[in-house]
Amino acid sequence: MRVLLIEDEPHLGSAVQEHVRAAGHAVDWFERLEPAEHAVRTVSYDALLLDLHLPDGRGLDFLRKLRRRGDALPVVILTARDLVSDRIEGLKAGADDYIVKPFDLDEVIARLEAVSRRYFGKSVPVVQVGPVELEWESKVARLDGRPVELSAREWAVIEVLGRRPQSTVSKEQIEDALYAFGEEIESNTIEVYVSRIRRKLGRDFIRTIRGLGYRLGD
Amino acid sequence: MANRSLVSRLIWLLCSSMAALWLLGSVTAGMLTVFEINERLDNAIEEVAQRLLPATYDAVQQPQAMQQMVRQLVATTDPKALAYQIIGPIGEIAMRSDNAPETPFQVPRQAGFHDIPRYRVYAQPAAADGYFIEVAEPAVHRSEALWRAVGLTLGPLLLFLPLSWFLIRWAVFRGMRSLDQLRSEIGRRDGSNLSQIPDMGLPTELAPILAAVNRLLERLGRALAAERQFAANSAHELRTPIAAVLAQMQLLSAQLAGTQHAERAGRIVNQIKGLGSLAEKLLQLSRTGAGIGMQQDPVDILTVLQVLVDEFRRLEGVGDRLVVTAECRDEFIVQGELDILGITLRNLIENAVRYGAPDEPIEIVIERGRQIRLLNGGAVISSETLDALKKPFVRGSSVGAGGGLGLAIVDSVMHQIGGSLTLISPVMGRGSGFEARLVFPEPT
Repeated sequence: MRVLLIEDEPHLGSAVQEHVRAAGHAVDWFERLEPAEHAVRTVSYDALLLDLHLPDGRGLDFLRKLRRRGDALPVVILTARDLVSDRIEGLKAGADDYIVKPFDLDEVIARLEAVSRRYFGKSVPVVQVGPVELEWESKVARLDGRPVELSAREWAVIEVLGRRPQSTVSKEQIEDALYAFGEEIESNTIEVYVSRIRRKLGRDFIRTIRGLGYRLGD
Repeated sequence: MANRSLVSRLIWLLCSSMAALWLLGSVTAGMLTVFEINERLDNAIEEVAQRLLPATYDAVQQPQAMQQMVRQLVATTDPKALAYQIIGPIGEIAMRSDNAPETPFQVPRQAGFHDIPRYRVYAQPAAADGYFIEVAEPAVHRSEALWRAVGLTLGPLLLFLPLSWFLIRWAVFRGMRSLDQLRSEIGRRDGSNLSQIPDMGLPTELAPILAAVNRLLERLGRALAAERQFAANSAHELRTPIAAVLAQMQLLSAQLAGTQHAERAGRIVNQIKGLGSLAEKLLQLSRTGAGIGMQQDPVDILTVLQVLVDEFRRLEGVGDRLVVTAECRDEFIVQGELDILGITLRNLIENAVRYGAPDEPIEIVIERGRQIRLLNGGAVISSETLDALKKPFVRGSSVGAGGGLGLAIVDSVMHQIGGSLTLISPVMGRGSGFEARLVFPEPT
């Protein structure tokens, strides 16, 4: 998925970006609200990691504005404020989860993916696609009961398709979800990942809808 | 005297001063009365002698007529009435009143007043040569008159003395009412109420005190607000860099996985986490430890618990282990500050997560008797250790990365709101485990 990160502390921001990216997600990181505002209006993000104290404003105001215009983007707040009243205020403003600094990077990934799953109907922990069984939470894929090793990017492609299992997802949508601003993308990158996944999970696991994109098998 | 109230001191001082003044006034009035009465009575004796004077000559010549005249003048045998004798040239009694003694008064033959036993005598030469008029007033008459006059002067004063005590008492209480109101208003100010004291129309002597107290309250309020702001800013300023260091170190640790440095990197990560936890606890301690400034708002503790339980259930290894049982389902109102109560409950749950047996449930039981019990599994903790756990920097177990501050914070808060924290191990009815029991006072 494609994640928007708004965090003004450079060392923390870079670490979170790197870690989330290593988990197979694309991360656009901004240190200020203004460019983030522009980004959120132009890119379809799957989740937002939001700091509350930013140089050009309060993260909560940004969140409220987002919700007021009907944006249902899953939001996880990253903050140094740990009081119950802060948490209540954050949740009331429309946050889906609230992580207090300092945090474990794996915890951020886990919460981010949990929130995303709640949003995109993947609350069913295990999905069966033909002979392939997908466990979203543990990121395990099994073919005929045998676990298959997938890279973070390969799993990310499956997640994008799994988010809308009955729909066709275009190549551009997959690219948008997997690559952040400025990242180099070869023209055939998505085809390469689809090909690798098919090799591991079977040719019919991902179907190509000519001229439109891809969808999960069946 | 040192601990007596101002009112009783004032009453005592006013009453004793007034009694002393009255006593002085009474003595002076008595002395003046005695002087005045003596003068009046002496004048009366003198006047009687003067009236007898012109008749003395004729009376000497005509004793029968004189006797008749004297009877008319002093026609009494009353022993307390004035008596007279007309003494002849050789000291014989030429004439006397019926109530006068039969022997001459033993006074010198000199004009003027003479005091002898039982009489005060006024002697005056008569018109006839060698004759003396002696008019005597019985001493008993004079002393009776004097005592009556003194009694009439002092009697009402003695009667009014207790009445004055009541009046002074009433006046002092009434006069002190303003001070009492001020004292009562100041007494209502505490950490939860730093509002300005309203203008109560105080007397000019007390108005500056009210103004000074209000200035002090305002300064205190500003100082507490600054302290809170500082705590909030400190949280941000401390936690963010620790978070950055931890995140960078976790990345490094992941990159060093499988190398000889991996173990050391892992230790550093754990130390940074411990540092973060310690910073958090110190901030909580500074926020809750001072006591002053805690608001006393009605807070539904079930709402606080709901937020915290939701948060903790998301943690790895907690989830459904955290079980909440509530006997009162509607609300559980506690007088305090939302965030401080949140810190209290968070510490207890954290404690149970950190030190409790990982395969046993953590139970939160909300009871009707204004009690919240947190129970977790684990080995029995000795009573000596339980007693020490409420002290800062004391840990019950070497397992876990706690700073030994959580229960000290909880204990401090519970004391501040008038409640209590009791630590029990093993859990009653079980052979093991730990229970932290919070008892909250009734809301006011």
